[in-house]
Amino acid sequence: MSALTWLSSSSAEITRARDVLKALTPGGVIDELGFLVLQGAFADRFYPAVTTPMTRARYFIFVAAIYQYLERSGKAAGRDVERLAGDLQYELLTKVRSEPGAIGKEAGRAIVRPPSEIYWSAIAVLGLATQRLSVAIYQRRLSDGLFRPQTVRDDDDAVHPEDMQSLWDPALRLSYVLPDGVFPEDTTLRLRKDEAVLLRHRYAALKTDGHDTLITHMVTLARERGLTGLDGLSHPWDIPALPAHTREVVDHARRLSLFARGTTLQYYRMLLEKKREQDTGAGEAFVSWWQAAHVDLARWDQDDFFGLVHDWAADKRPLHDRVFFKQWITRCAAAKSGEEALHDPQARAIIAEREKRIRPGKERLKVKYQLDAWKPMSNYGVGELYQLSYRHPVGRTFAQDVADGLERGAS
Amino acid sequence: MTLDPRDRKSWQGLFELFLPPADYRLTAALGTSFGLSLDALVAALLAMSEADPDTLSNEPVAGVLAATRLRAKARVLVHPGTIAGSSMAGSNRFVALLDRMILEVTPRAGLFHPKVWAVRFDLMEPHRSSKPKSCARLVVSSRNLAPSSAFELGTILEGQPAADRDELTPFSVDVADALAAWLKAARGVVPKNVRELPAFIRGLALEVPKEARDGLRLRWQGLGRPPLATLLPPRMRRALIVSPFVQPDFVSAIASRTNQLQLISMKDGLDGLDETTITHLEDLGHASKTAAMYYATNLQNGYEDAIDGIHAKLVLTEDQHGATSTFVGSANATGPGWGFSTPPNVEAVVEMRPGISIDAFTTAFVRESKAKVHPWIVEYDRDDRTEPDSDLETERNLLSALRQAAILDFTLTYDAAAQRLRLAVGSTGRATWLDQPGCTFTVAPLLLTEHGDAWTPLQTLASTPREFESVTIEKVTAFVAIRARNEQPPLERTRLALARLHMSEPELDERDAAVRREIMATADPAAVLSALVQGLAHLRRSAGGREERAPGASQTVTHLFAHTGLEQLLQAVALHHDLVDDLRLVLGCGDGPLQRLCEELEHVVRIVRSEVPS
Repeated sequence: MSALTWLSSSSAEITRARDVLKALTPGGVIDELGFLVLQGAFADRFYPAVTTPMTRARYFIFVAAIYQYLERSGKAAGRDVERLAGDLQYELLTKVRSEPGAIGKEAGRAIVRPPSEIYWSAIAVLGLATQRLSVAIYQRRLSDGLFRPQTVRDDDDAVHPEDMQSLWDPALRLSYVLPDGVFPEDTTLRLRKDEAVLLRHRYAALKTDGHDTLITHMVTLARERGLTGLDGLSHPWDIPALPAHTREVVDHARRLSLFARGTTLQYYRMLLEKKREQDTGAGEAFVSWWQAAHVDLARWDQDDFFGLVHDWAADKRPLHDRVFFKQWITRCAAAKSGEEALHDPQARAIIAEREKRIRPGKERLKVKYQLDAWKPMSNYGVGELYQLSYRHPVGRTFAQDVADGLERGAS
Repeated sequence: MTLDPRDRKSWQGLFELFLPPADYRLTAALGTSFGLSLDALVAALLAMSEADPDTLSNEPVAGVLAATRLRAKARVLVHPGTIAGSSMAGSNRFVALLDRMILEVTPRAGLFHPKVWAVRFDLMEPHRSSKPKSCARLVVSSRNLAPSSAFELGTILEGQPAADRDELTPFSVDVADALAAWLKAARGVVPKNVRELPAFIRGLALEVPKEARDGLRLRWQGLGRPPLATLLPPRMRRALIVSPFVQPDFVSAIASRTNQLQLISMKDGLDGLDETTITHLEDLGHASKTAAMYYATNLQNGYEDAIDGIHAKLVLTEDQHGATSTFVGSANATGPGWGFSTPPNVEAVVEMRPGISIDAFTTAFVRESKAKVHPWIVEYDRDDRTEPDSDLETERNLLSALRQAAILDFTLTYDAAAQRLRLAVGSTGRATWLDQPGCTFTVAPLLLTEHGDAWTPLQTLASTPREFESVTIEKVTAFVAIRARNEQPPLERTRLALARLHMSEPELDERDAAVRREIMATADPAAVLSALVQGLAHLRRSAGGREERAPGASQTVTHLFAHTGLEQLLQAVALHHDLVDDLRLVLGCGDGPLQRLCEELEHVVRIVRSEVPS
């Protein structure tokens, strides 16, 4: 009907379009044969409140400080809070750009996931935020004038202007981080001492199944042994002096990572053969892996492993996973050489069956255009034994940040 | 029509206007916009392709389908340097499918600023229906093809081909002339459906709203046409202006012609007016015993997203004899907006007579009563003036510089055999904005922006073209990202421009096919046909409810029919003759079951068509 009308500003259509665009953005995680759920179960126990895109621990402080400032200053009321916070995070980037782990160095203001988004859910897990709100809802409420300073009068009619309804834990007094809304020139990604104490306590409180997280272990280790660097701890199983239960769990994680590496390398080799492309290292890497891994895997107590993941409710494919693990390891252990294991038809059939279950209808070994779309890797990492990292690199950096802050952080 | 924003009937969703009426399908769409965001463009394409929002929002194929089905049917004309990517544009191969849908218009001076849409719909089964074979929808508004949370005003006009010349609506001819002129000024290839759209629009008989019973015309300026200012009465009894951006030249010109003027804007817009203009307006207000200046704040009406601020542009006039006119469209209350100063922008407004009376609009939108304004309106008080926000000023300067950067002559040359992409820019000439201290401009092909070293300083690029090696064809797009960084205050903004991409249409088709192939390699192919059929609103209605698609549904033909009935599928193909072609394009080459299904469907359709008289 013809008319003069207000045009709706509903954002639902835009949101749907963004969902479509998001669905069309290639994912960053390669999970060729379906190990992500199991890896996640271990990683959640080793490194809770840690995710792979995180880089440095002090971003917890920065994100909280930015939003505390927006609450305190009242500048967010009626404004586009996402943009305000984005501009402050960009200003932060300009101060820390030269430091390792600065987020957004390349993308700058056009960053896909700013620190506030990357750290948001972990902030609530650590109890730095008092409510588990999505960042979008929080921003909306902030813009609507909630979470703004409130003048409170006590029984004596005395005014307490600093009292406010805030999302943030009252223990966080972070106005020094960006006084007057500006990050000081000497802003750094290194934790101050009091910030390190805070984060150490928060991570220490995150016991999983009654056991300390690996961050807590590494912070303790660094302090007790006076370590200035944790770089030598390439994997969780490299951490010395773990308590017995943790050590057992970590060892299961190690063997799962070992197993994932071997099956994935064999899968890559099968794809290369199917594509009739020259193998630039997958076979070599597999043979090298087999030498170091096949006896180790044969000794793996798989029943204990599956009992553990069952207790965690992480066995999403309980029967098939057990069959897959058991059959392939049996073939791997029975081979007399890495070459024999690599070309073993039965082991390959097990891999093909696994692909069929993990990628139904999208099997590269069966569907031509799926195979055509697969791009061989430029480097297969000959000599590398492990596939899964369990977020250890980020967790180790956090532990290092906290330990450094405790020892050498500014007061 | 009251324009009371609390009344749900006063609102219309922009994207809903792209949806075909029942029994029709979209055959051509042409729009203009000053700013464009890629996610809003995708939202528009999804609406045009009748994508079902409930089932397709998470289907990657929905976007591919929309872009594929509308590749030869939809185009948007924009001012250079006003395209904003979504947050993930640089990493999204899909955006390559969008570059042919956007055409830039670079006026010799001023901005290309109109916001006009013309959409043609054709009846699917003309031999079975008494409805008109074609119909059209025209929209002239303040709304860009970008997210907006502000009050926006638009005029919607619907109609069908006139039976004879007497039925023709002059407004249709105006719109056709404007679209033809803008298309002529645009850079890029225009597909046949879109090219022929102005001629179709020219022959329409429109349904005229009662506000336009005495007159309805599209007025536009720029590209050598007379300024809109000539349309305003030389002397007025009263006038009311709504505009987010206001400048003294326009306001003073109107104020000097009338005894009573109400101006509704944004607070920062009014704060930016000089004291002389403010005093003049206040004097008018005192003389007529009414407030002269207001600004809009926000509205929560419970069924829209929160409205914040105003972006609508409206001028209501009442001349000395009581004759009234309404102008609504893209023109801000500025010198360039109405041609009071040069260079004039390209602008388009609807002129309606008698239009809306000033009293009716004031009651609906400005004042509840003589003593009280509506909750979303505040009377302007000069004493509350806030100093200009220097950060905002910096941002405006950056965006202005980006618009200027975008009209530079960027060229992209692709050597498919060598997989080499070459980016060059013509002379930056006397681009003074390039020398702003503390500000740097860098450029990169959009789909390579994830690589930090892909960014090249603009000045370097002007002297030395940049070559990128190992660029596969699906990474080639005409979009280049231009990034402006300001050191103090630290600020960064990025806009997209369209380079001249030296690839032939067949090569671009090959590129599109490669993009689709890559996306489909990781998408569920069954979802393609399922989405095609389920996404058609008219089929949903006729077929009744539909089953939920199981998570991880597989892609065999058997499974497909579990979710898309054979009858529904045949009906879709019979009604949409190009559906199978679209399907083939999306699926790419091959001999899989779905490709064989395409052949079977074509065979069935041929038989049916030969049996059923058209």
